[in-house]
Amino acid sequence: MKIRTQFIITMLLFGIVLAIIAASAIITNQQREKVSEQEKIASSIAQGAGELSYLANDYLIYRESHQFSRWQSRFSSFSNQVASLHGDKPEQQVLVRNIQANTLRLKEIFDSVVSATKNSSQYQNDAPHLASFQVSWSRMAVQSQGLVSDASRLSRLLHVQSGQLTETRTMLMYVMVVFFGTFLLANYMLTYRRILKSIMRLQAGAAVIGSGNLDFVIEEKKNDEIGDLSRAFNQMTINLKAVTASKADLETEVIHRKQAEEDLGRQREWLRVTLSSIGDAVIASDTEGRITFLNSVAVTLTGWQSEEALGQPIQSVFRIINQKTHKPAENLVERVLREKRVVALANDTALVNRDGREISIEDSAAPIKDSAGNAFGVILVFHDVTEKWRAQMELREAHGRAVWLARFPDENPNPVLRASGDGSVLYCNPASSERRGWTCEVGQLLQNELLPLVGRAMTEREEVQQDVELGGRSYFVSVTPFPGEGYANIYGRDTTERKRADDALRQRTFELQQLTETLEQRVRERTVELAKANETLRQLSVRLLSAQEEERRRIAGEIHDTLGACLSAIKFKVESVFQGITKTPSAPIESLGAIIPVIQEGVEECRRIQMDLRPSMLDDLGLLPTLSWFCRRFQTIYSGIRVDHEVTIEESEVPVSLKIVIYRVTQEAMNNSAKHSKANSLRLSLLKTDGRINFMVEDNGQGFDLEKALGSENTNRGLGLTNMRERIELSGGCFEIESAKGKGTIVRAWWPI
Amino acid sequence: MLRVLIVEDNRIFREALKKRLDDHFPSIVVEEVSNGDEALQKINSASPGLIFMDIRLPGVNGLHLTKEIKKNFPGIGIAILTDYDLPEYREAARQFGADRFFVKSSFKWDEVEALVRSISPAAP
Repeated sequence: MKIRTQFIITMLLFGIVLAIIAASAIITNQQREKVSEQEKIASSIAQGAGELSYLANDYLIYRESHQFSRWQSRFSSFSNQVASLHGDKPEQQVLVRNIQANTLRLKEIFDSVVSATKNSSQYQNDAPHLASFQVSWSRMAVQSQGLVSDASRLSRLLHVQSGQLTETRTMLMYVMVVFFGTFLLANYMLTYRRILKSIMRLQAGAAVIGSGNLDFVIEEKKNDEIGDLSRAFNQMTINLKAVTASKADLETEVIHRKQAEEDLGRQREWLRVTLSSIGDAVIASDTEGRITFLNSVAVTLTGWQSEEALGQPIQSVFRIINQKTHKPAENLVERVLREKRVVALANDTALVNRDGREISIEDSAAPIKDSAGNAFGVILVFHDVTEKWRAQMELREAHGRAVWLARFPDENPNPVLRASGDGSVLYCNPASSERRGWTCEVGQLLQNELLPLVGRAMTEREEVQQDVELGGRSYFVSVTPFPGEGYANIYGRDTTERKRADDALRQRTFELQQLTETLEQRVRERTVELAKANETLRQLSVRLLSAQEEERRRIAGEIHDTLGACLSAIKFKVESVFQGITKTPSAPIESLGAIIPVIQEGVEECRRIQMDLRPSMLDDLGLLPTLSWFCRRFQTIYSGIRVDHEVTIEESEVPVSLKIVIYRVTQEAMNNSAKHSKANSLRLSLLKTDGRINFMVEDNGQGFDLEKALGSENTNRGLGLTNMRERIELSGGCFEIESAKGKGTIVRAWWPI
Repeated sequence: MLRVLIVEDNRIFREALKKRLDDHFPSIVVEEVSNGDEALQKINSASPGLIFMDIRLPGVNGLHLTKEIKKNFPGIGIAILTDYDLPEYREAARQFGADRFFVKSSFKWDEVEALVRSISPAAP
């Protein structure tokens, strides 16, 4: 038991006992005081009774009213004292009751005496009255005497009781003193024996340990504070012993420590090699977020060299963004240090490397803790998932493609079915269940039209194709057997429309054949016509060639007759001049002068031939001067024909390409007229009317049979007409000739402008 | 000093005319060109007093060239040279603004002389 507990219990016991004794003494004292007060009242009652007796006697003797009132007042105080009286013990109580009863009786007696006294005042000195007065007076004396003796006896009893109580009080005081002394003694014994002895033992043990004997163990007998102290002391000794190790221990410790450091170094190197060799990128940082380590994969992925990255804030090297939103991802180091647990990176995270390239990564970050569990850094482990993503995408695509392919037969607008060897349907596409006549369901037998085809295909082990009528439509059905698999695929194709189209085509073909025959007939006819026309053309060509040859012959003749003759004459004349010079030197001037007219003639001839071939005036001056010149010249050659010409068109309004055409047609028409018509009047007009050029040559000659002339095209005249027509039509114009025997000829042509 | 320009594509005739003019009028300067473009260049650089202009020139009609020169240089005298002594030609030369009309095969030298003198009285 602890000393403190012992002390408290002792004090508590002592206090209780002391309080009981003190309370007893106080109660005793109060009782004693009460008893002595009652004693005083009792003695005063004894005295009062005597006084009352005395006052009553006075009244009886003197019969005065003031004596009566004195008795009355004294009695009232007396009766009050009697009322306050009470007894504790049975004997005292009997006495109190007697006193109270006697007091009442005393009052009665006095009252009877008083009333008797008043009546007797009229009969003074009456004998009977005196006798009764004596009786009352003796009764009163008796009562008073009783009261006095009772009160005195009570007073004596109370006095005795008071003495007893005083003795009790005194004895209690003694008891208290004795008890106090006992307590002091007992407490001393306890302290000395238990506490001081224990402390001394502890002191002795401490002295032993202090001298260096750390193996000493202090006895721990009791389970009190001293015992605790001893145990603490022993524990201290043990700890001290552990701390103060010997030198040998220290040396061993140093060796162990070195060993441990080497182990640690090896372990660190192993860790570094491990971290560098693993396939994942690893970045470690301190709690400030500064990089303390990164392995080769991290160098490759981030693009930062190890020595550059060390000490850098992790955000600048390990820059991550959300691939979808392109916003920076949350700072992992802060989050790990805040939550103190492993954190995995959100999906769609990409690392932005030093070149700004984005690399999809998967990542986790974890706090690095010491043995006490305090985080002193963060480690990030991540790897490139681009390939993984791509593989996933490819897988998804492949799956999508498979689904897509699986839809293939369902999307076929034609019926596609698969039936087992016995003809029950294994699969049918939506088109086959929607089409009339193809009503089939998986598990049912094929319709009668298709059943034999499947049977045949399975037996013959080769594709069967056949036209089948189903639901009022024609189908081309092919059944492909897969005997190894035990089923056959049925493909139907609706050929109704095609058949109708084929029928229509046949009808059209028939019609076309008939048409072709008609056409061939016409072609044969046209071929005959063409052959005829060809012959005509050939003849024309022959005539054209001969006409050209004729023209050349004419020009050659003209050159020979005129220019050739001129040049020969000039040559003769020049030769004779030379001969003349040698003979007579004065003659040549005149001879030479005679040559000039010959040369002039040659020049004129040359010019005429040239103008016949193509008048250069047409190019130099235009169509209108040329026509004017031609008419004048025509007039001089054919003086018997009167020529009129009318031109109402401006030179600039005639297209350049038309000029030679109009000139040649004029030439041909007028020459024809001059040569064949025997006309004496001829009219040429070139007019511009209604947006076209109208040309006309009209004579008043004999005319000719147009049919004959054009029909027999072997004459020069016919050739001339054909030439005109061709020239005009080739230049985009229209040609018309009007003539009859004896009615002159009109040649008309017009061109739109 | 009078400058005369001959515009003629035929070399033989051109040189013959030049020689004849040089011989006849030693005081004048005779220059020769063979086409319209050269003629316009020469006119701009040398400002001749008289031009002998052939009608048939490569790429251009001498009459049109005459009209153009007359429009810009009305003071230059222009004589048309042609092979054809025909009224149509004379009329055309007049219409296009030429001052004289000479037929190549029958050159009237007194007319040429009168023309030169009328332009340059100082010539002999």
